[in-house]
Amino acid sequence: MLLHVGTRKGYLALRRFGRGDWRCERTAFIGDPVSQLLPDPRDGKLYAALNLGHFGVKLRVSEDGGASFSELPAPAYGKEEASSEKAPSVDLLWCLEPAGPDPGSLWCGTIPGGLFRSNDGGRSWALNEALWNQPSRERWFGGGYPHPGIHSVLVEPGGRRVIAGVSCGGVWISEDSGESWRVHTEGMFADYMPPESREDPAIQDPHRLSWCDADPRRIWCQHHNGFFRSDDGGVTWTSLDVPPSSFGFAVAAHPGDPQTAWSVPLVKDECRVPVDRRMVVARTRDGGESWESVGRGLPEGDSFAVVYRHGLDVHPAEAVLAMATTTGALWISEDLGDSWDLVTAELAPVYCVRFDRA
Amino acid sequence: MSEALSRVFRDNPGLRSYVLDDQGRLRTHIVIYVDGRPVRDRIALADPVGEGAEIHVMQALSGG
Repeated sequence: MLLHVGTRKGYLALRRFGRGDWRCERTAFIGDPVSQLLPDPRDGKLYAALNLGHFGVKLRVSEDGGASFSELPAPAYGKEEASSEKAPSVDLLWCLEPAGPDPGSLWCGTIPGGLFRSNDGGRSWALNEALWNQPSRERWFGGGYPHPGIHSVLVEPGGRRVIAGVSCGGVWISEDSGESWRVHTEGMFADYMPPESREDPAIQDPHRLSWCDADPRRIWCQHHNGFFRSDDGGVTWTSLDVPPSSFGFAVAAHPGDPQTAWSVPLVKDECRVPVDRRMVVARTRDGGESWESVGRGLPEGDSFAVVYRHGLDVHPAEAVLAMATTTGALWISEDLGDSWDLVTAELAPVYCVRFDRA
Repeated sequence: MSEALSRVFRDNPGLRSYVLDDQGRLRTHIVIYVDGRPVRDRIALADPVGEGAEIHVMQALSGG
């Protein structure tokens, strides 16, 4: 079992040798922020999205399991005719997903809100105009970043049904591989907005979407206002109360059991530390009706750990969980979250963890 | 300035996105000096560059 980790200071791959025994097998991009990783199960390629700050966002691909990388063109907006300060430029490559069964078909969600598509393994990219030109995009806004961004893209195996989560811009669904889109946030609300905007689909802030592989009608959403569940593939949403706090960033669905999911609660919403500074994972096993705080082995106090959106992953076959924090700790659970083994506490802030699905 | 950079990027296309953003603007933390003076037009890169001018492309250092 192999786990890919993207941090503020580089990439590392860890291999499992036994319970609690994960060893660093490889590193790359030391010193560079790695905002996203995609170990592509279709052809074994490993994509790495970098944010070089001064030098912009970059995309790299490895065809030898991460031993060497070559540079690909990063998704970019077309140059507008009139030069201006407002014309868009990609700030962050935030999510990378296979776009369907064809190897080389990819979706890339970005800040400031563009969804890009490649059909040739990232050698060229095209902005999805259908989503970018939605009139309600004018009301999208940034949450935590100056501009809005697409952090979650869920793709059904055939590639036709695509769901994009936007902070802050709602949940968008396409039934035709991205040719057209509709926003679906019925049931979601944002109590921190003016009353007139509370249920406006275009301002909803889903922090992260995760669905059950075995039943993709069941989708979990960690939202800025709280936690929501959909039973109809993302069309309507039900608010759930998750103790000790419904606020957080990460959410993971059990790949085989639509009743089971995990979140990592934080004090809402400008404070953002573990409740009572005790780090726990919230787990439901009954579809979100009830939740328990689990996490034997996690810090029982004095924790300031935040798990970012892409900092929690589940192995698709083994239901092993990986979780990594802004404080540089990486944890693994092999019993559905009941207990956690600390792999290392010495990483830079972690942006993403992703199991190899090959 | 724009023309001078284009000549450099023609020989080294990969360099372009490191210096300019998607819209061809100078990246925020990049600065270009022409004969010791910073360019003023960071959007259209229209500052004049004389024959034999010396151009430095530099980046700020920050982070931790």
